[in-house]
Amino acid sequence: MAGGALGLVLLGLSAAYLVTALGFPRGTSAQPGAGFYPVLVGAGLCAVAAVFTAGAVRRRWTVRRQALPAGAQGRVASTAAAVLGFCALLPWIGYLATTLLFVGAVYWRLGERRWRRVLVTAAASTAVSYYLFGVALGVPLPRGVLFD
Amino acid sequence: MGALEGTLYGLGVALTPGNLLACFLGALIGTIVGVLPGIGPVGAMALLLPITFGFDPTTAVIMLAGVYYGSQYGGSTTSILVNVPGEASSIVTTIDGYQMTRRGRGGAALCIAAVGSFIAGTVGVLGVVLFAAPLAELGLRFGPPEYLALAIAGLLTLSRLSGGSVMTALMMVGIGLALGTVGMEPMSGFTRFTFGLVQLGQGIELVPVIVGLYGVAEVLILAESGLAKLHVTSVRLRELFPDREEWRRSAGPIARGSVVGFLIGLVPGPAGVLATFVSYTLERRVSRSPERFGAGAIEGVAGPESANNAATSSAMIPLLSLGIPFSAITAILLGALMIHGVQPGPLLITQRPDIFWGVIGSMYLGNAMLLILNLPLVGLFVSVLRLPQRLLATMILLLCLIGAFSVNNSPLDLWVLALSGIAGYLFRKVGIDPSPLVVALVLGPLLERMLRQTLFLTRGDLTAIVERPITLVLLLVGAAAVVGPALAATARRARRLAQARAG
Repeated sequence: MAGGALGLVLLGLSAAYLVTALGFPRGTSAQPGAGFYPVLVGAGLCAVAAVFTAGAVRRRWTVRRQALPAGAQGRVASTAAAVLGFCALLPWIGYLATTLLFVGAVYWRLGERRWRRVLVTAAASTAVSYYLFGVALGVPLPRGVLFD
Repeated sequence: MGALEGTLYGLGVALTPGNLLACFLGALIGTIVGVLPGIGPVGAMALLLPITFGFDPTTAVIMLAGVYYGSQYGGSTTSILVNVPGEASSIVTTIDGYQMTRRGRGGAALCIAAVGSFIAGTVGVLGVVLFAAPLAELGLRFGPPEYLALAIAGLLTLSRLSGGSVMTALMMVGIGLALGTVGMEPMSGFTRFTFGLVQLGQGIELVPVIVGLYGVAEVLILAESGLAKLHVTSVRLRELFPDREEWRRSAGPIARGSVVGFLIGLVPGPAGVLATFVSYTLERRVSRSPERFGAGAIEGVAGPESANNAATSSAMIPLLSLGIPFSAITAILLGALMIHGVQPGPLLITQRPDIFWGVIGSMYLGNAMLLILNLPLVGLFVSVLRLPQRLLATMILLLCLIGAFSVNNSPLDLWVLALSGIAGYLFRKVGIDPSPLVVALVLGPLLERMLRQTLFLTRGDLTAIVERPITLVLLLVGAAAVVGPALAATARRARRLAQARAG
């Protein structure tokens, strides 16, 4: 990815932050309101992002592609997808089912191909973590809207 | 309370059964975290933070601080035996430590690393005892303008020292400050950047951000690496004793590393990492046989391993004395104090001497525990590395998810964790250090409060703050940290150009 493109993305986000902050009550410099500080932060962010982008374009900064082991990007993408899946599924199917699926999927994807070991690990880690956090530490782990 | 009286009182606090157990558990968890390449002390401390909610604040901070300095001990083990640094501050140790292992002197390297860490840790604690209380007294004279200037100077210096370009570090600071503005503004109750999400009213929680940036991101990096099995070298107890020559060669580096590490720990930034690099360079410079460095010189282990432990202790001084964190790790400790309703700052020493002196006392006890733990149990700690990495990675990820959820029992925190994890992975890929973001996220609300109070005090005239000597010095230090090196480089270029023209 070119550094210039990254800079433009950051500049866009900084500008969006500043525009939103400008909508808050700013007050006066002697009596600053809730928007005073965010406007300063937003203006600073835009300035830094602009200098960063200009520097990246001038130096033609690019991120070097590293030689990765086979299937590396797939493993990263599927592990990240599993984390996002955990977040999405937890409120719906609850902690037990989500954790069972999550551990099984990640462990298998990271290279464990013996399915019995995957199943036992998923079941054991779900049970142990449920007992430790849900029972011993009293964390109210979700039961899931579908099972309530 | 004087330094000696305070230290004895602190040892008394640290020696209560609950605090002693917390210190032991923290040191043990820290060592394991240091040994494991998957999760660092920042992520581990953030994960443990929710578990400490039920503890007394002193016990909570003692345990979390134990994880911090315990990880510095554990980090050297994998550096020396496996050539894989458990922590960033152990990278330098791999250079000569692993070469010593290849020559069959890995045990001696581990022993020197542990003894050096203990001595440096003790020197560091002594420094904290001597300097923290006077600095807190100085801090009592600080008003909002001084705190504002200190926070700005700290963030600017951190931007210079955190690695990578200043602009990317400043960008990280800006993002951290911006994230710190999300939620309800405490003075007026006005909600900012919540986009209709009620849960965002409380702001962005620190724990999921840190666990995502340091824990989830690290697992994604592990997943990318292919999770190859590590080749672990076994060490027997009798191999742990250095010979007379190794002891003699290590004495100077341990002493110099302790002093260098202590001084660098006071500077905002990744003190532990910087201290090891500075110490290694110093030892190579002062050595009569610098050619041995890189081929298994014990000085290359003794100096850096002492330096990172001394830095760990002195990094606590700004936090305990002024309530200002200058690194991601001390930011978590600050977060822990605030969650327990303790207001960190110069009044901590008088209002909560149990925390101030208790943490200092526990640091000394923790260092002694770590020396006893690390040498005989090195085989046990190393055996953790024999677990399949794919299993470790999966379990760390699950722990990150439950840990982030358990802070507020909020699904929103899980999304923050996931997005921070993906962002942290991308930062790592492009070589950006996320620690300025974390420090800015913690310092942001303080910065805003101090800015507003300063503006009230000066009736909107910010130029009034440069009329105060302390604020002026602090702001000049911050500005020098950012523009100083650039100006020096320009001057060098101009001088070279002038010489070339003259020649």
